[in-house]
Amino acid sequence: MNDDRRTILIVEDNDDDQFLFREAWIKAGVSNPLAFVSDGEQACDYLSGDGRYADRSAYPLPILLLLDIKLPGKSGLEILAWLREQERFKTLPVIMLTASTWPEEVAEAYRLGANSFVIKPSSAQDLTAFAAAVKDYWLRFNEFAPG
Amino acid sequence: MVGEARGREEFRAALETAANAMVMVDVRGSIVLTNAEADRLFGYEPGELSGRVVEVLVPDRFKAAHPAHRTDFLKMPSGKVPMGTGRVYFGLRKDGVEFPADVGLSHVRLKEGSFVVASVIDVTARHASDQRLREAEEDLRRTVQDLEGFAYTVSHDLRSPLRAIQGYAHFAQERLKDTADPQSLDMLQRISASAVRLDRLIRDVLSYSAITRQAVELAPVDLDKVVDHVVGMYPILQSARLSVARPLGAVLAQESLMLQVVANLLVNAVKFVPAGRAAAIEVRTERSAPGKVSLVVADNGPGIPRVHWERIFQPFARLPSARGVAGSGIGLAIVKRAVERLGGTIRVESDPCTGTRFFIELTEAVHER
Repeated sequence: MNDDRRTILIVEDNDDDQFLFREAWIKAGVSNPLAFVSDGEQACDYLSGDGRYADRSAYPLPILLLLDIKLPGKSGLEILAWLREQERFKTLPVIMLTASTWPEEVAEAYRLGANSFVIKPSSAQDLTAFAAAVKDYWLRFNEFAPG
Repeated sequence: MVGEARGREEFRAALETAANAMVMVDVRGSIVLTNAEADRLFGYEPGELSGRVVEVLVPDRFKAAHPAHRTDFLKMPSGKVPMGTGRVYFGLRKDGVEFPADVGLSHVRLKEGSFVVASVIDVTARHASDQRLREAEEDLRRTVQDLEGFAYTVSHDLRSPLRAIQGYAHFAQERLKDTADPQSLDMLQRISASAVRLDRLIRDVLSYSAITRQAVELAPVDLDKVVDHVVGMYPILQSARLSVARPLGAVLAQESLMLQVVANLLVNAVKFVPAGRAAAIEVRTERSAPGKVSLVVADNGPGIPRVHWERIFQPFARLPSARGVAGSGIGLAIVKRAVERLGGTIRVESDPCTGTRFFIELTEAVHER
């Protein structure tokens, strides 16, 4: 069962994509709060509760992570690898996002422990459909590990 | 092996008249005879080379290995290394200048014993032009690679702001749909539609370049399954009357490329049917040559005038009749490139009465018994 007050963390460096994501999310009727960070450093800090992310009431641990692959500094795949080495994040569902990819990259993401791999929808309509699908599958039918 | 009974002196006359440089060497590697052309080529006085080891004619970097080559050659049963094998050797002139050479060797037995006769041609000119050709090829390959990489990066980087344009226009339109005037909404709609069109174009360019770059592995591909798969993927095809002469059989291809080929042809057949006419598409295969199968896709569209039969396969070549039909003009270029990557050929036949037929000839996949 989903608790719709629990946060979804999105690692995305592109401001436009952040804005459109939020818009699509609202349009699809997702009521979970969205938290955004723009690079790998921030993602690790957020998840570890370091620095300005120390306050868990303002920056709660997410139930779902959407992780862009192409990021400034650490890549999404590096963050994913780091994440799966941390005991408390081994069970966090991760959806990889990318603008374009090749088969080996997809395979590598799954090997590193991604739960899903999505090419960023190219139209606002598809982005909304994607948000609606996440809502239906991950937030409605999917069971999260306790923690 | 020549002249079992003849002697060295008789041999000299024959060597002297040869147009090539000839060097005769005994089994220990000492030069016993050179003709005038050899003396000229290597820059020695007549007779100056006699008695010297043959390695004086070999550049330093090959000198050490050369005696072993001589011994090996003498053991070769054929007794011959012909010229013109394409292998380039190097000779060393007396003045220290080296030159690329073609060398032929024969093992001859004379009264005085076994000898090796080397025939030498200076191939400096040919070698230089080969070298230039190789460099030009390498340059061209690098340029093409750069251009393709450039096209890929540009296309990829263009897509991101385009996504933003389309997204903002769409969501603005959604937010304003109850309050804004119809004209403003229409403008937002047009911004969004243009961005979608441009995005499709970029994606087509990307897939065109991907077909060129990707590795192709041929394996038997079941054409019936390919057609079924394509029909399932494109709802537009379900409105067409599609007759498939099953079984179509199997060809040597790569499934992903074959799907793209068949999808582009079938979708084209439906797209270009004039309004008011129902699309009727026929798919069949025919044995076109021993071991070759042609996949035929025939439509009842408006036909393509003969003058355009070549042009339709070029990227971005859209015919005047395509006006009003959505598309980037790259679909058939993708088909042609894909068929070529599969080692096949494509041709078209068309007339205004019966429509257009595309023939894709590929190698038949033989069933394993």
